[in-house]
Amino acid sequence: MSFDARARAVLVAIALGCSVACRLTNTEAPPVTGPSELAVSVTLRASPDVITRDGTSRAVIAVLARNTYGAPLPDLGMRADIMVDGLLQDLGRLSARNLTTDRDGRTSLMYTAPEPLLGDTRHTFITIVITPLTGDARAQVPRTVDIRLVPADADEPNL
Amino acid sequence: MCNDRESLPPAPHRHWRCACRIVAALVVLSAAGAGATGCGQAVRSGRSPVVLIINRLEGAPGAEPANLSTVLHSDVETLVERTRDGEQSSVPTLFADVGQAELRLALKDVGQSGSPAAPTDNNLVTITRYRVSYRRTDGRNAPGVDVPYGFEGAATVTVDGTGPAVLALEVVRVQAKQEPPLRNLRGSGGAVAISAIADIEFYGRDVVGHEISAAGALSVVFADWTDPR
Repeated sequence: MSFDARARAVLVAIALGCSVACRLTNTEAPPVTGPSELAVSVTLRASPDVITRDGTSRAVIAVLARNTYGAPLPDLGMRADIMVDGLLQDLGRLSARNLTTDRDGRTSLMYTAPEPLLGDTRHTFITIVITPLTGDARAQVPRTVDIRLVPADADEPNL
Repeated sequence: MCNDRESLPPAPHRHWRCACRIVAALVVLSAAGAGATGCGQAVRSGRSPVVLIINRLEGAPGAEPANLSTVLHSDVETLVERTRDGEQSSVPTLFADVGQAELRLALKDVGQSGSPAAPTDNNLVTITRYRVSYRRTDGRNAPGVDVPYGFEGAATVTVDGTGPAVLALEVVRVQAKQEPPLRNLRGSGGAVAISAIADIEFYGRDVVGHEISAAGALSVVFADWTDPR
């Protein structure tokens, strides 16, 4: 073997030794993932969240549904109800009872305040209940958002 | 670089010189690689000769501060039973959630085998503040919307080389339970429950003045949990 060939063989051996002898790699944890709420996340927002009890004032309930990864959840069916003091009752009106999210995971409905009551100075909390449909009512988890009804002629709030 | 054999006649000493250059370059490269990987994060972080180690980081609901755990079940509202004029009632109450960190020191230079180095008074570290911030695994991390706002807290404890020091801290402030998204969870409203990770960083300095920090994390599950009896 010539000197040139021997020198090359030595160099190749050194290079191989350096590349594989002590190769350490970092152990990296995978990025965080998974739901932080329920697997079907439903965000509700009432705008405004305070309306006058005059039979005409309205509030828009915006609904946003997301999946396990926080991405919009389209075509999710939902049921809307009105609850007062823990009891389902129609105090006021909803523009829709059955909702379906669009491709952005969004939908909305309108709540209209009930007619005023003479002499009533109480503030009433209306709870809008949105229940995603799951195919089994036993697995339904309702989500809620509150709207405060204030009397039309209330000078002094009486909570 | 070494293929100049057309212009110059081949000579054994020229080949040897070329080979030496390549070997030298390889040695330099391997030394640089060893330097980059040989010293770990612990040794390279900060200018202090010591590192701060969190032995344990735990949290407890404010209503039951002795129930420390590595997972904090944070109750957004606690009904406390009170008796007034012989009549018993449940009073909605807010508690800040507490935590506890056990900290110790370690020297970056561990010394020789048989005569390990030991910290001196110059290596004492005094922790003076901590920071708590929250994040979620689903990537929605807007403070005040998806998670509570982060905050800074102050606490003073000195960690010496003789053993671990315990630092008590606040993990969830009472203010956070008064505003979204935690307030919305009352009565299983809002998102019903939120699982978050509380990142907690401790800051201090040693006697010489070198800044030192250490970071840990704690799982926090916010919900309107069943209240203790």
